[in-house]
Amino acid sequence: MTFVGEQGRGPQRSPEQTERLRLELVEALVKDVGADWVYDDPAVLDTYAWQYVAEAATGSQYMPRPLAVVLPADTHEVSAVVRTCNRLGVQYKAMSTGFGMWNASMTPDNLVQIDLRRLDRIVEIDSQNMIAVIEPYVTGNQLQTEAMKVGLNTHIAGCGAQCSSLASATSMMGQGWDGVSMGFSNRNLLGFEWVMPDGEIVRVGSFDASGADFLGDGPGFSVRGIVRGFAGALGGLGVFTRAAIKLYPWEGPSKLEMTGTSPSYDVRIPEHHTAAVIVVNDWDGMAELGYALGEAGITTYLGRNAPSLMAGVLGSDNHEGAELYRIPMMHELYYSLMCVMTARSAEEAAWQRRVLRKIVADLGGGCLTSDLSLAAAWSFAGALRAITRRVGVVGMARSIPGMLRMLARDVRRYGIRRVPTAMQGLLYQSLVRSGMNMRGVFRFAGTFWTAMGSLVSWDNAIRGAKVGAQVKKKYIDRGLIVDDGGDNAWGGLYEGGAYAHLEELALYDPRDPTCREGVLEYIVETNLACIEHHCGDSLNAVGPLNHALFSPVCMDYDRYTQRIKKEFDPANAADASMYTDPDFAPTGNAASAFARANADRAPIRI
Amino acid sequence: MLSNDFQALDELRPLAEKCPRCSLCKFPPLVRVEDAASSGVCPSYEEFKVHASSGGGLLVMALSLLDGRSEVTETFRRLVYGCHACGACDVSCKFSSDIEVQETLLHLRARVLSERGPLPGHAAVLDAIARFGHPLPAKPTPLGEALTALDLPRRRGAPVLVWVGPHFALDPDRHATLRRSIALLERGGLRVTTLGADEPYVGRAALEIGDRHLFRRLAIDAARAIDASGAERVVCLSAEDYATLRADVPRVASLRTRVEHVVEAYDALLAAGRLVAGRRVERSVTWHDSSYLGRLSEPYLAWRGVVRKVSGQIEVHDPPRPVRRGGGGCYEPPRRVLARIPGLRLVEMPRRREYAFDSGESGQVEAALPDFASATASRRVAEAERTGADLLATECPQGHRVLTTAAADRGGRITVTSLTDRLGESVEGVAS
Ligand code: SF4
Ligand code: SF4
Repeated sequence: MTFVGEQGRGPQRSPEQTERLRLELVEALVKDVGADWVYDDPAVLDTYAWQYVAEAATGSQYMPRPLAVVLPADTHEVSAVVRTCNRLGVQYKAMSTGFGMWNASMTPDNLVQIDLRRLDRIVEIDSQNMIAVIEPYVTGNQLQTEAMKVGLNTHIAGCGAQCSSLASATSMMGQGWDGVSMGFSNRNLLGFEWVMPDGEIVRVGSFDASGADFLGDGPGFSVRGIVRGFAGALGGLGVFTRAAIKLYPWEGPSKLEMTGTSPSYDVRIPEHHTAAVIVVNDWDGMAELGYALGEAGITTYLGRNAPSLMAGVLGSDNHEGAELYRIPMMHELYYSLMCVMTARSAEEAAWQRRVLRKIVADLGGGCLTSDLSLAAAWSFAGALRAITRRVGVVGMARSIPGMLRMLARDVRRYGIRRVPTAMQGLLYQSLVRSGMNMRGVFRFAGTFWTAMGSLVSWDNAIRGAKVGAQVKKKYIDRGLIVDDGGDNAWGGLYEGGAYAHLEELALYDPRDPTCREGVLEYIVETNLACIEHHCGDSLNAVGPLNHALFSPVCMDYDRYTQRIKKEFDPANAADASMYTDPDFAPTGNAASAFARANADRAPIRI
Repeated sequence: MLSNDFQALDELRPLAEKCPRCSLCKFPPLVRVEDAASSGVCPSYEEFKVHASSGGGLLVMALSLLDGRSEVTETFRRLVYGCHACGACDVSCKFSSDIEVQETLLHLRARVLSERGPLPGHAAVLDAIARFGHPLPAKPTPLGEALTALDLPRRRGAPVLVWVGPHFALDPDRHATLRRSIALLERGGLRVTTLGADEPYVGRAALEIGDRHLFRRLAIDAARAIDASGAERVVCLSAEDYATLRADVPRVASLRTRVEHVVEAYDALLAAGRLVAGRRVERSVTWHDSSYLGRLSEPYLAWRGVVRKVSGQIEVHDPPRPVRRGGGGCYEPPRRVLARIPGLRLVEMPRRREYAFDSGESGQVEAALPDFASATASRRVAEAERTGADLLATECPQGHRVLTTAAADRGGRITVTSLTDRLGESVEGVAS
């Protein structure tokens, strides 16, 4: 079963022809970049074939192997490699930190994997104009670390701060915790340098015209829209070798103070910053809360973690995480948002906290914050009341032993004086440094895949979460995915709440073929539900098969992407198996995924 | 059944298969990054850049081999040994997972060795162990002979056994430090002894090259020799021996004697007032947490259990499995010792403690791929230079040597020193 498209649609070559081609290709690539930077050893190729959610494309944890891996040193070498691929009639695809099956091809032995690892410089941080110019292998973490030294901050996508900022800005989606103040990856892309599908190097945006990187569009049509649009071309339109990224103010220290050891680092929340878990009573309250916080403009980071995900992040191993998740108070912490507020002064911090407490009190909820005042204690009581409404007094009483165990553990780990704020410290580092995302989603079962999650209004995102949860229930009942109570909606609000997303994660065991198959069905079924219930196109709508599904109900967007692909890459040199395929026609294998998901649909009530 | 024992490669497979290629093993736990220039934690990935040269990449190479998708080619072998086995990837990965990266890398080496034999440099090391009882082919003197020639104290019934190790015994440049260590311990009132010619090699090189039978044999011999000495504790002068005796030997041999590193002994003597660092040392110093003294010395706690699934698919180890995350290394004692030397100011490097960058000393890289070892050392020295400290201190003879060479090659902007030497300078009456 496959999900993104059809495997093996590339040129048909005999094994001998493939080996001859490989030899010729390697010889040419060695001329382009030097012998040290070309690999064709099968095991090395497998380290590029092994990818997160490869099972969605191939049914195994390996994607099809490339013909060779090449590591160019600069843009000119990238261009040379691209020209070689064009000349020899093989496809290429670039990757930077390379996390996910979309970095690979669906076709075996027809791809040169361009690993951009050697292009890893922060070229410039222009603190006056709040712009960074970076190469592909600069991670969100590196850029943020350096930006914070000059009072600036950067958007980091949910895949984690170890991932490339450029890849997210030029070629992928890029939702993250900081969306409320720093937007979405495509909104932060200013100029960029692009090795086009035939190897020509162009510079796009204002820096091509004026030498300054302040505008990604124009002159003329927005090429930014063409090369990446909403979701990015996932490597299907050439290679991006440099990008100018918009930065944002950081009202915090240049370096976070912390103690402790792995896996329990204890971060001190800076004096005028506040980390909070905000609890309300129901989904309607959540909708109001999101909009009110967005409008108030007090949060720098704002988002939702489902209870199971929170437990996964807070626990230092699966035992702890599972135990935490069993505590009724935690298990039922559905209607909550997490936020970090970053004020410049004590007055501003006090004002932000007052506004937060007022908003949440008006909604009959409360919050658990890092601020240890009387007013904060009262708000905490409000949060407890909201949770009690959900779990009942008995549930609260049943939570006590688990909470005490957790407390004892935290005392051992952080010391008695740090306990009141240690939890918020974890929350703070998780949101601000985006370094704990992997803990939540991978450790419990091995991996996860995501569903729903279009950029829509916040109400619609919540509607999507309700739809997703109902579909998911069926797969939980079949024992195929982690029982997260049906709810594992992760997401947040963007640009002051102008738009939002909630994606419905499903945690599963990637080693178990039954789970893998089951999750694919779940993904297909949620995609069908997205269409039927008007939840927008799904986050995982990558590859021609999904475009065939979503495009007809979304203004035929794939007709445009296909035209862009044909126009810019008539030779189809850049592998577009995750982008668009003008000649795509689903065959038996792909169609069966839909048939199976369609056969037994979960009933959905909104 | 899973265990924390000395397992076989396929036993680690279910853990390895959970790797999603997230790349966290290439960086320190992200919240700890202080500096983009020091944001890589994996020396091999910094040098060779290809994913196969990272913890996650090597894990997939192992899986590819186990899956029968690839064979041990020459490229494969060079990539597997082009790694310091320093364990930094293991620490970074385990911030978010329970995958045994370091264990898998060492097992992979054993498999590569059995299928393709040693690299020439490693063949020489194994040969030296066979002929001279130590892993240093450039020093064709039997270990026992070198230890005898040192004429170190031998006292029947002494409670403290000082473990010298080949890197001290065979390097004349380190002999002054070695004698100073013993002088400091004696000055603190400890009755120390050594085994002289009876001190065997503990076998780190065999473990790192992948000759697990040889390692087992050497480990058993070392454990027997230590226990037979009747000492209450064994104080290792070398960080490599400390890591091996504390973390690895107990997995294959019964060792009842307590294992300490000499900096832990100094720390205790200073805290008890039995050693007094009185003379001022007006310098600034940055401390290099050697991989051996740090994360690789954390013991594996014995555990046997099963994997169960709860809440549908949450995988738990039953009973809970103690995971070796690197925090249990020796980090505080050297810092406390340095802090007690008046006038000496400690400035930390960004990569420190459990996620310190290796010095180029580990993993038998120097023997087989010396240029890579030098490049790693140079990166570590560059990081130390960026702190602005005058001194780069370590307490590991090989680390001292590779870092000294790298510092000199970089123009001598920082001086590599041993903690023992600086403490000796400060303690009255200990010859310097
Ligand atoms: S080894 Fe660990 S950190 Fe590295 S890619 Fe795999 S899971 Fe991620
Ligand atoms: S053991 Fe050290 S050198 Fe080897 S892959 Fe891990 S971090 Fe890199």
